[in-house]
Amino acid sequence: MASRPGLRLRVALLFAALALGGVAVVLVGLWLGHARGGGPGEGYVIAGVVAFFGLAGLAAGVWYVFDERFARPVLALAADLRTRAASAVSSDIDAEAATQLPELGEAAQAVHVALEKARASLEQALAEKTAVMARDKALLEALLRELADGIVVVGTNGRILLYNRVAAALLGPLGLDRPLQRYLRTGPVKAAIERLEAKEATGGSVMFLTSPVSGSHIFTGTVSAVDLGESRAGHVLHFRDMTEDLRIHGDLERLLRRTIEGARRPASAMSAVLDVLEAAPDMGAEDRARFDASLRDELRQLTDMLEDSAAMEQTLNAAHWPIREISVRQIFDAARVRAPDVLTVKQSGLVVRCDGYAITETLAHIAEAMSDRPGHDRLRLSAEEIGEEIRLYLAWRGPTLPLGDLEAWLSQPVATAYGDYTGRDALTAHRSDAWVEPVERGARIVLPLPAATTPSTVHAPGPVQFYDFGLPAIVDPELGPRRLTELAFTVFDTETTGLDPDRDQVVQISGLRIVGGRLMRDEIFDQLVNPGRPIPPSSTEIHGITDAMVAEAMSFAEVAENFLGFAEGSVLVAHHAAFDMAFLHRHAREKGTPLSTPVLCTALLSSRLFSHSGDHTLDGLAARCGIEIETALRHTALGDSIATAEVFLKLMPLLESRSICTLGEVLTWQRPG
Amino acid sequence: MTNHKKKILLVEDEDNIALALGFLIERQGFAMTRVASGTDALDALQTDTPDLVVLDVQLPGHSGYEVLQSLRENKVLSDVKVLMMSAAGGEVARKKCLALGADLFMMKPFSTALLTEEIYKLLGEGVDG
Repeated sequence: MASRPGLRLRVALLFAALALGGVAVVLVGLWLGHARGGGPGEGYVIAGVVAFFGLAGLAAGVWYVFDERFARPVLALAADLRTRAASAVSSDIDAEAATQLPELGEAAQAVHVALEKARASLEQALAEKTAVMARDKALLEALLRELADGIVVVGTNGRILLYNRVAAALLGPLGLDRPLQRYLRTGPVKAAIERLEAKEATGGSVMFLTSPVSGSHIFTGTVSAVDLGESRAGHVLHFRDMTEDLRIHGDLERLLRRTIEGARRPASAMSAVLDVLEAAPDMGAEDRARFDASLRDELRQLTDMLEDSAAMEQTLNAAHWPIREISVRQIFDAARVRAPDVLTVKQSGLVVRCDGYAITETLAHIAEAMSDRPGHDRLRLSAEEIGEEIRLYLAWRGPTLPLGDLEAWLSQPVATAYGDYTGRDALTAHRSDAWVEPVERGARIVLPLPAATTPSTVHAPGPVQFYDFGLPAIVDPELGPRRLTELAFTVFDTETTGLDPDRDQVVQISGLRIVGGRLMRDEIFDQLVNPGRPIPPSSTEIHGITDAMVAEAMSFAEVAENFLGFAEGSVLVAHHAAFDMAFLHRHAREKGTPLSTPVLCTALLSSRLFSHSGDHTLDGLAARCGIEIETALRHTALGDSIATAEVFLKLMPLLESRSICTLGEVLTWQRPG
Repeated sequence: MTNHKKKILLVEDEDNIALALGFLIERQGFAMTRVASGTDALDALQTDTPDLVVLDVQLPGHSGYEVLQSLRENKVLSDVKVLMMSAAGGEVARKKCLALGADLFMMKPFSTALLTEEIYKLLGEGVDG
């Protein structure tokens, strides 16, 4: 594909050939004229020279005009059309082409409009077809979000295909397509899988006990297989952190022992004193007073000890349960789904700590039971923050509810999934209770729950990008033959003290990953670097990073190691990558371990894909691809990384449209010259 | 010792505790009636209106909470003072009792001197010797 000269060169060669041909014809004519006519040759030579320069100049001039008005616009139009063929660009056809070649421009504009229409109708059809899938996906994402336990799905090669937020919180910054063993001690998991394969398991899952690679926490969980037809696709790991549970269990055992032993001593003393009082009814007043004092003292010790134990037990249980922060909105939404005909909801942004499922089921169960009672209007759910607790209210207009009825409802199982677990069990487990209190023209059931201390950790519903079931099983470590869509990329950018990689230093490095052709907006690396020297004001003006901001930051050596760990197993991508890579190569040289990571440069790719254009800046490339860069993020390492990643995603289909599909092909093709 | 003639209904199912509390209440000169279940308490309240109910939470039949709710919903009895006691439930039991309209909540075990003091406060009288 590189052997065929470009259009502009071919046109130039054509004009050169015309000029040379013209000169040759004139020279032949002059030679024949001289041969026939004779006479002095000087006039013929002068005529030949004039003809040569005249024809060459004429050819060059016409070529220049032709190149400017025809070849370049044609190339621009071709690139524009190729871009539109490969990915959706809604802007009109290149203005220069439309001006210079109005007929072709109009025709291209017509093709563009038709293509846009076809795309729009195809997108509409796809949108309708995928609506059902989107619903299923939303359900899966909601399930992943709400699960209080960590979930990781790994392929048969041990690489991560899915994880939820809890898993990321337990194991650190997980990434798709990365080996699980980087985060979790997988020995016990492998042993569990072996037991699973040996069909020792009942119910399709096997328990394991393990810990993360870093840290001393203890996880308990189960592993089960994911089968697609006859073949095994991977395994699901379902786990939770037992460290706190084990600690609390130990503390509760110690408390129980202490209480038993603590009660035994004053009980023995009181028994002895009472025995004496019974045996000596005639003892003197002074002795009697001494024994009474002794009895009171022992009783006080027993009471204090019980109070102490009760307080400690409450503290331990409060730490142990409830374990999950959940927004009141989610509880109310779920309750309304459970009892849609009965409930109206006044939504709330409050966050509580509770077993969301048990509380939702308890509320819905009470609401359903209430709805069978006559004389009240629609039930209303609302919430109020009072001190450190959130009170959930189920209110109605009408007669009050006898507490005995509420107690009877609470004594019933809340849901089949929870077996015999009752609403009363749920309330007791939450150290809570429920009661009825009168309100204007009606009454309400009150259910207090502890308020979440850190509401910011509750994740708002949003796109979940922690899974990709389409990830291939990577067996061959050689990346070259693999298609771009099968690879993981780390798109990154650096901010520096200046533009000389030999003298300047990095002050910030950011990156994010593309896996399976999808931008993983939640897998972000973004760290400031202490450059060990002042940041020139001219640089600060560009990226906004000041000396104060990096004063506490790590050195580049440390941050570079972290970054290379983040990027492990992926292809690096950057705009003008040579500049950013120069810093990483310098670090690698100093460390004595040269980098062998493949690198793609979006600026180089642009210069090859859009060779007619002189603008290969990130802004220009983004504009060409129809990508808007948020002004506030421009010239921040993370903002530019995101823009570069989005540009790269647009370039991928363009490369494929030119049959440049594998990493090896792109690496070869992007080389300058 | 003065004769207060104020009537106290003691609702307590634990005989030993009822024995001690009854002894103390009567010794302070109050007229005391003791019942051992929520059902008996509701019956007793129908026949005679006390000035104060000393009410345990955990009772056979109707719970102390239910007795309290009935009492507060009854126009005749809604002003009767109620002192609730419980050995279980902790802080939430206190909140629930006060929300249901109790005048005071005491967690067991408590000192008899404190109980006597609180009874006097609720009945608007000074502690007698």
